[in-house]
Formats: sequence, C-alpha cells, structure tokens
Amino acid sequence: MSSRTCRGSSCGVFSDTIRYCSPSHGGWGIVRTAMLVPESCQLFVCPFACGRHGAIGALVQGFKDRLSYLYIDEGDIVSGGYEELIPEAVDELLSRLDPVPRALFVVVSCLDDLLCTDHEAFLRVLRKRHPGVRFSVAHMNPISLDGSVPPAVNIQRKMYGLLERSEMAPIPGSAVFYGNNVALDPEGELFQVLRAAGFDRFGHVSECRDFSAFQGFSRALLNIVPTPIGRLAAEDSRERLGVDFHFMPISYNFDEIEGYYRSLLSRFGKTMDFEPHRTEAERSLLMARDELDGMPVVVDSSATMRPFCLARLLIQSGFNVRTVYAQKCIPLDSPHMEWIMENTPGTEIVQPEHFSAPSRRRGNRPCLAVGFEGAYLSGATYVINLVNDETLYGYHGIAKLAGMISSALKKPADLKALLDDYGIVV
Amino acid sequence: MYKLTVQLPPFSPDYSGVCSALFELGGLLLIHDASGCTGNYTGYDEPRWYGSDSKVFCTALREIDAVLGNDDKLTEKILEAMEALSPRFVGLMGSPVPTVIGADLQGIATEIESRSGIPAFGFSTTGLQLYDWGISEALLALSRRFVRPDRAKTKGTINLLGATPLDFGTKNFLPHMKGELEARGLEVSACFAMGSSLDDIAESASASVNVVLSAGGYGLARYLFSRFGTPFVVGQPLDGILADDLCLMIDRAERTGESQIPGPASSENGEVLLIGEHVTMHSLARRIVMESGKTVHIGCPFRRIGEISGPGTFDLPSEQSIAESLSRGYGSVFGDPLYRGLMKDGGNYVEIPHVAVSSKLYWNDPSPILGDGLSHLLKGVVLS
Repeated sequence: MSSRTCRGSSCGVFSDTIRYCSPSHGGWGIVRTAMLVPESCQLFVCPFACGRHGAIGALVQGFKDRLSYLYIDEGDIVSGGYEELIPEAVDELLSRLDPVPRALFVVVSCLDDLLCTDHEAFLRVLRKRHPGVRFSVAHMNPISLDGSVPPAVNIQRKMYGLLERSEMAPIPGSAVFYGNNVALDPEGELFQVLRAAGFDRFGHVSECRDFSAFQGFSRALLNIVPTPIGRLAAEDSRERLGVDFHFMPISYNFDEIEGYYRSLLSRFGKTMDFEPHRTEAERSLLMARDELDGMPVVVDSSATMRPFCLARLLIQSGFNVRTVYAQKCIPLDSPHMEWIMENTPGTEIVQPEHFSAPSRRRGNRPCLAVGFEGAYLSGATYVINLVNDETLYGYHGIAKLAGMISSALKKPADLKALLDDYGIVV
Repeated sequence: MYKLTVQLPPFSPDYSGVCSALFELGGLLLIHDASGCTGNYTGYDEPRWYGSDSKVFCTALREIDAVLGNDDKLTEKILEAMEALSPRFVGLMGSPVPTVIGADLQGIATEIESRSGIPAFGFSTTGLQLYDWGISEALLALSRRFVRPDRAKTKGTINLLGATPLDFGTKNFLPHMKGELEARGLEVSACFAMGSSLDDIAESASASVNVVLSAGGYGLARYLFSRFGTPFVVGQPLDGILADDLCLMIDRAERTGESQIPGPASSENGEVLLIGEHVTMHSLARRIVMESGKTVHIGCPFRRIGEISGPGTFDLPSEQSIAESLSRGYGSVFGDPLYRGLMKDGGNYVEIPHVAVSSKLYWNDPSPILGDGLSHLLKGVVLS
C-alpha cells in the first residue's frame, strides 16, 4: 500500500516499488527548462529513443527549431568513440541554423553516466572551432534522480554556468532570481521586501530578450533563490562570479515566510511590518474554505514542491484535506509531513508512482485537486491548474492560491485539456 | 551527416512497440529504465494510456543499481507487484542503460516465472531499434507461448496481424478495415493485438488465413505458417476495391493453403512518392496504380518486407535520406505531416499521420486514406 500505513523505507512512509507513470506525471523537463536561455540551442547526443518525449514536447511548445539530435548506435557505444562524432555534427548543425545560436548545450542522457565520456576533450575542439558560441554539456539523466545532483538541479547549474564573470561593477539595486522557471508574480509583497532592502531592478531568465541580457546577470548584486532546485546554481555563481545569494524557498507556512523575509531584510539592516499581508492571506484562505463548504481537497507534489507544507496550512485553516500525493518528501518539508502524520489521521499520504496507484484511482467525484497528478488519481471534479508553484510566493502567493480555489470551483475541469495545454513532459 | 537529425523527432522505439502490442492483454509490462523511456511510451506512443488500467510500469533504474547490477532487488520488486496485481503474464523490456550494463532480462524473466508460475518474457529491446522490431518480437513471443495448437481450422475466419496504435491510431483505421472484411463474410478470430483478448489469441490457430496488416506482423505470419500451416496474405483493405482484392487473395490462400503475397507496387520511375509503414504504403501504392496508372516509389523509414519490395522501394534510414528523396521532384507525396517540413519546394503533399512518427500531434485525427475518402483523395491529388 502506498498510504501512510506502508512501511517500506527508513521514514516508514514511502516504499521503493516499480513505478507507475500516470498521464498527469511530469513537468517542464530538461529541454524546456534549458530553452529558457535566450538564443541557445540544444544538440542531444544519445540513442534516438531518449529524445522522443523532448522532441514532441518541443514541437507542441514551438521550439523544435532549437533542438537537434545526434543519434548514437550500438557501434558507437561499443567503440566508445561517439564523442569523436560530435565536432562534425556541431559543424554541420551550426552551418544549418540561422541565426547561429549564441550558446549550444550538448545534452547527454543516462547512458553517458556509465560511459565516462571525456566532455572536456570535445568541448575544447568545439570552442576552438566556434569561438562565437558558448558550449556546455548538460545532462538529461533521470538515472541520477536519487543522487545528490538530480537532473532538475543540474540543468540550473548548466544554464547559469553559461554566465561569464564580468569585469564591470555590479549593477546597483539589481537582484536576479534563480531556480524558478516562471517569474514570480510582481504583485507579491516579496518585491516590496526587496525594495525595502534596496533593490529596484529584478531579473528573471524568462524575461531576457537576448543572450547578452542574460549575460548581464553576472553583474547582479544579489541572487534570490526561491526554490531548492536553484541553490547549487547560485552557489556556483557565488564562487565563479562573486555574486552572493539569498536562499528563501517557497513556503506555505506563515512563520517560515516571515522568517525568510526578516532574514533577507536583516542583511541590509531593514525591517518591515508583515501583518497586513498575513491578514489578507488568512482572510482569502477563510473565504475559499467557506466556498468549499467541506468538500474534500487533495494536494500533490506536481503542484508544489512543498505539498506537506501547503497541506498543513490548509488543514490548519479548516480545509478538509483528504490526501497528499507525494512520491517522497524533501527535507524542507519533513517537519510538515510529520505534523500531518501526528495530527490528522484522516489525511492519507499516497505515492502517485506506487504500483497500486492506478488500481486506487477513483472515478469522477466532488473534490478539489491542487495539481494535475492528484486530480487524475483522485478523480477530482475541480482542479487548480498549478505546476511547480509557478508565480506563487509568500503571503501573496497564498492569497492568490485561495483565489485560484474560488475560480476552480466555478466549473468542473477538463483535466485532459489542461494537461494538453500545459504540455507536461516526463 | 546521416546521424544528425535537425527537424524530425526521434521515431517510436522498440520498447514502445512491445508495449503497444501487449497493452490490451492483461500483462504486467515493465520498462527497465530510469523514467524517461517509460514516459516516452506512456506519454507519446500510447494513445490509450489516459484513463487506462493497463499495467505498464517503470523499474526506476538508478545509478547504484546499474553499477551493482541489483537484479535480485528488481526481481523482488516485480514479484511484490505481481502479488497485488495478478497479471496474466509479465513482459520485461530493456532500454539503453540495461543494454550497456548487459542486463540479462531473459534470465530475470525466467527467475520470475519459476518463482511465480506466471509466464514471463524478457525482451532484448535497447532503445536503439525501431518500434516495428518490438511489435514483431512481442507478437512472436505471445504466439509461441499462448496459441493453442490443437484447434481445427474454420473456413472463412481470419486473424489480423500487426495491429497497434503506432501504425493505425485508435480512431477509424482498424475499425474500417475490419468492417470491410466482415462485410464480405469473413469473421475475425483474433486481432494481434487490438480489440482481442489473450483468450482470443490463444484460440487463433483456428483461423484459416492470416492477414498481415503491417510489417510488424510479418514475422508472426511466417511463424504461424511454419507452426500451424496457416497461409497468409499481405495487405490492407483501405477501401472497397482493395478489400475485394484482398478477399480474393484470402480465398485463394484458403483454398490452396499457400500464402498470397502481392507483387511489388512500385516501379523504377516514380511520379508519386509514398513514405511510411511498408504494408500501408504498399496497399496505397496498389490503389494509386489501379486508379491512375501513375508510377510510384515507396520510401521506408521503418522495416521493409523484401517479398513486396521491388524497384522503386527503398530504405530511408535517416532524416538526410528522407530529405534527399523529397527533393527528387515528385508530382505528389504521401506521408506523415512532419516529413513535409523537409521538402524544399512546394508540391502536392497528402498528410497521413503516423503515430510512430508524429505521436500525439495528430493521433486524434481520423485517417484520410479510407473508404470513399481515399478515392476522392486520389482523384483530387494524384489525378489533378
């Protein structure tokens, strides 16, 4: 069983089983994430099979013209010489791409983890032959998902690894966001906090008009990291570029939010009154709770990387949270999972990839799902279209989420259409 | 550089072919990979996945398992799931990493079968071969294991071989072809493998003739001929004219016990180019020749059947070769919509979506080459 009663791992909640991959499973994927770097292209060097989902996703999302493949076959694997094919392939690719990209990611797959390819050897050749192009090796290797640097974290390092140290002075008042693929809502009080701390110029990779603008990030005064997946990239930039960062991961816990804000402000000797923001978030939540009128709610980890934190907030605000769908629990979220296990016996924890998940799937029923995966597995009639906490942060994020609950209740969701629109990729 | 692919997506791989062929038969299907290969299949090669209760899973291979070769751990995980899910059989498929580490999938399958008593297959898929190889291997394994030999042949019954959504989608293609044959008095005993159960397939030796609908079903036809003496025919009843023609071949095969393989439909000089699955394009070529007398070339990015190939039928193993073929100035071209982007010049292009190429981009579209629509299409394009 994948509910809290299971006893398959050290924490006693999660089991290591063969995995179910529901139609609602996935997210941005490596291809789409790295495409955020403007004027960049990607050349996958891999068995052809590894590229199919990324390529079809790119066709759907409209950037296939920036994505190419060098297929390697058994002969290349056996000979171990496939990296020798790369310079020729890059020569031909760059001769065909118009305009020539400013940066090219050579992306390798799981196989490369086992082949010990000498990336630097072919990168040296590429840099010599094409001095106007920045090259980087990136990895689409889910085989490392349980490792210390999983693919979603590593691709952030590779993206920001393209930044070069600037000889020019940092841009006064500039802050750049790392790790969140979609820019945070500018209406959020986070930006008031940043202004109070002395910042008035904000950068996000999705808003860069070209590669030169992206390079301007190396002159930021401070990098803001609102999600754990951006932290290693920010650490790299601190070392390489000399740009410090402030880690303040997304949270749905009022005290944590305030703590992150106070910590940021204290770096600059500032303070702020957060009470109005907190009050507004609480008021919005209570309104949404009343509109739900006891309807069951499920929360899943495709919607937020802090599903337990969010579920706890909802429970403490009087929502009827029936299920948290999470394959595992990140350390940041552990205290909230433990709180739920101790305090709400009616809330079950279900692994969406457990082999029993499809047989537990329910038909259409009155329920609100925060996230696609929980929606599919629970059969929820109403669905909040939220992936990876996109645009949400702080008290404003909570209030905005409450507004999304109210909107979602207006009509039953067509989940299949939502999934197609979003274009999730495994 | 033939290994460089700039415009087209990678095509459907071998493990998708295995899964697609076995999807409806109640087995536990496992792709031995980290997650991406399973996601390829469930997300991009399987239009039946949404809402399905088919048992397709990923083994969640991780670096430490690959390095240590933790086959025992994998076996235990599979047995644990089997206990709960009660599958009719187990199919374990390889992907690139198991290929490199030399995972013994057949050995693991043997262990599973000996411990559970449930039939288990290990497929040597690698992610380096195309989907039709997987379909062929899956159907052969299924038949070798499950088709009961002691069944008397029943006149007027046929099996359809090589039917999967990767070639035929899930809309009108297969129902239309079945309808054409049933309207002519034939009874479909089993369809390998859409719309039939494992029990139907077990009884399929009672069919008097097998109909090869795709190149993925050709190996099975040869096996069933050698094992049970069941003759086969090759072709698709795309419309009434082709259905009449196919039924004549079926009748002849039934009477003589000899397989009826139509001759090549392509010729040295080609005015029309067809690119796609070989049996589909061969059937379409025959119809074009009948309708217009025009000469046809058939380009095969996938498995090609030697017996129905002739002058003007050629392999297209790369994007470069497809682009080169499209530059030869044909009057009309038929193929998946994505090939069209490789045409440098304009010209008549008839889009025939092929799931193994364009995946979900068009899999909700009905096929345009069926019934009266085909005749209208040919009149409008080839004869214009």
